[in-house]
Amino acid sequence: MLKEKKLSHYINNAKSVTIESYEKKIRIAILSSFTMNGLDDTLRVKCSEINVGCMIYLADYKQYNQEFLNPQSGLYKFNPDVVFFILDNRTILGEPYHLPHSLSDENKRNFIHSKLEEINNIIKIFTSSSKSKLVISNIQIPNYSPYGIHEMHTDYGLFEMTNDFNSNMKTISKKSDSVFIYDLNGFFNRFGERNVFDYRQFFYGDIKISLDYIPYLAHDLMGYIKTILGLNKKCIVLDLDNTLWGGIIGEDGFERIRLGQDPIGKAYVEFQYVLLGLHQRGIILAINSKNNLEDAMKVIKEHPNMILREQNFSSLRINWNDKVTNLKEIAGELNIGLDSIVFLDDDPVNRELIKTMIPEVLTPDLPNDSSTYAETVMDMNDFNLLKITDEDLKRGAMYYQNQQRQILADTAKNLDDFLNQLNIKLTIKTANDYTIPRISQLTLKTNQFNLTTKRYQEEEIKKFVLDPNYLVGCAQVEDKFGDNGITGVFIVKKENKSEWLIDTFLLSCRIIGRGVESAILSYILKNAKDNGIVKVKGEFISTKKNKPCESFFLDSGFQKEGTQWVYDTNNTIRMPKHIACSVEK
Amino acid sequence: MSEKLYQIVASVMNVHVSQINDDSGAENLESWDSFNVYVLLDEIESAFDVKFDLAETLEINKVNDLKRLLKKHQKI
Repeated sequence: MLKEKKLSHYINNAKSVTIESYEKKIRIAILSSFTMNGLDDTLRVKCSEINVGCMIYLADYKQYNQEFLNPQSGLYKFNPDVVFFILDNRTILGEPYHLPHSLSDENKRNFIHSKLEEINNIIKIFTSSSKSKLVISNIQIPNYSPYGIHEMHTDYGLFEMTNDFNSNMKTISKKSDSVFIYDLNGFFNRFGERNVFDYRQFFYGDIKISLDYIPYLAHDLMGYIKTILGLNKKCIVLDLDNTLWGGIIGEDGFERIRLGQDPIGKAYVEFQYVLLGLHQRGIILAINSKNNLEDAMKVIKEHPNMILREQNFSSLRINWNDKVTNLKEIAGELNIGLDSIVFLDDDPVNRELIKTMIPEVLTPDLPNDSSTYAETVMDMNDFNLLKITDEDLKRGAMYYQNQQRQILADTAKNLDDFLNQLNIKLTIKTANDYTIPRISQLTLKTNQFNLTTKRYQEEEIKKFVLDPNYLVGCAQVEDKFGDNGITGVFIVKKENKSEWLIDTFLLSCRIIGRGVESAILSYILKNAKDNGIVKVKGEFISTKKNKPCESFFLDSGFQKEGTQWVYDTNNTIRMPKHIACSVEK
Repeated sequence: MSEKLYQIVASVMNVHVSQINDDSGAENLESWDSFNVYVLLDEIESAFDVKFDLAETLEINKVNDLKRLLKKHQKI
């Protein structure tokens, strides 16, 4: 179970945190309907622990209306990247919190709707004048009702008022791409109102989340900060013996490892369920274990109580090599950064080894007691995404298909033979409500094959789509092993009647090297030619990570003119023969 | 037993434990403000497994007050 440090630890350490030393920075504003002192210091320290410098604006509490509604307020001057707006049930429900009997059911409903209208208004005003993300809490369902046991038989009781408020908040937030709901009610559920709310602190200083629990709240909010900054983890690499099952397969044997039958074994099943849940959300799983491949695979394939099966693992390193080499190979095979990997191993020696040799990998301490494994992973705030796209949900399957492709690549006579056998189908799609979230996501996180590395939020993509001077599209790639989903994006600026400029051109790293990039470019060039365009221009903006596409324009027959690359559409435009390209209107 | 109390006060108020005595409090410690007193109380209550009344918490102006309360609750 997550054990946070005391608030004083954060308050005192915050004094020595300097933000200048960090490359990544974030501006956080905290607004709330009650005293939130200490949250700012805690976030400062927690950000510095992940090498993020954070600047915080802590508004005077209860001033949130003025802060949001006045365009000259400190909030707007601060220009935040993210706003945490924490509400509480006493403030929202007002007098009816204590005296719901004073109002008729109809008046209670009207009251809640007027409160929702206030929040809705705040959201509208804020999102129209700020680019910042806005995270608003819902409110806690009280644990006491003046209706007593009749609460459950009252048409619109106190709990239902609260529920109604919360479910409508969810509906309101869905209307905007930059608004998210933090489940504060869930926070109270997890820790219990009688722990989180301390009447003495409430009377003393309007403190509605007791000081001991501020670090836990900060832990939850860090989940948002990590994903906003792209510091969320994509992959969990797992040990096997005493991690996915109890005992050692090489010594205890198939019949005697503990998995499901007894209390100890049930803990491992529970742990596997939690991992499978994350896998279904898009987290990649891989194995790094010292074992005989055959012994381990027999359990994975045949053990009746295994929850995770072969197709859930995107990369397997089951051998007698050292775990550091294995882990680096896994990152290479999956084409992901070491800094997006979490390593879980019951053996403290192995953990120490990885922590020392590959500090970029997050290696949490797995407690000795296997009954706490599941909770340890559930308590982590590293796997969040603000938006989950279809591609995220299919990711695990896609990596498994990649293993199958690799097997074909290893057996094919040569590269052409391999590409021909893949039967690649490329579908060029226009940007629409379904594809825009993915297009934005790809611009935000693609580093390697990205010619200009321009980052665009959904709102910005929408503006391009509405602008007749821009052409925004994406590419879905399928082959005989499965669907890779939308993995390519291009944004072209129609500069004038004879010239187009490639503003953005990117490809997800997992499909580099199959000619897809050439096919997409050919589509753009052909489209340009059909529209009477003579010159298609492009730029390569070099970053630390985009070396893989540095010679793309040169290889594609573009000529260098100053800082730009130019293609004359009178030249032949070739579509790679092994790709079947179609355009979806 | 005062040692444990001094340690907690020193760590919350962010000063060396040698600077803490029974007279340390609002008058001579810069970090002893109305907010930090509650941070301190939270930590003392969990370390000594005790819960003070609201009225008791309002009496706390220096370390000696904490000592007196802990004695009253038979924790030291």
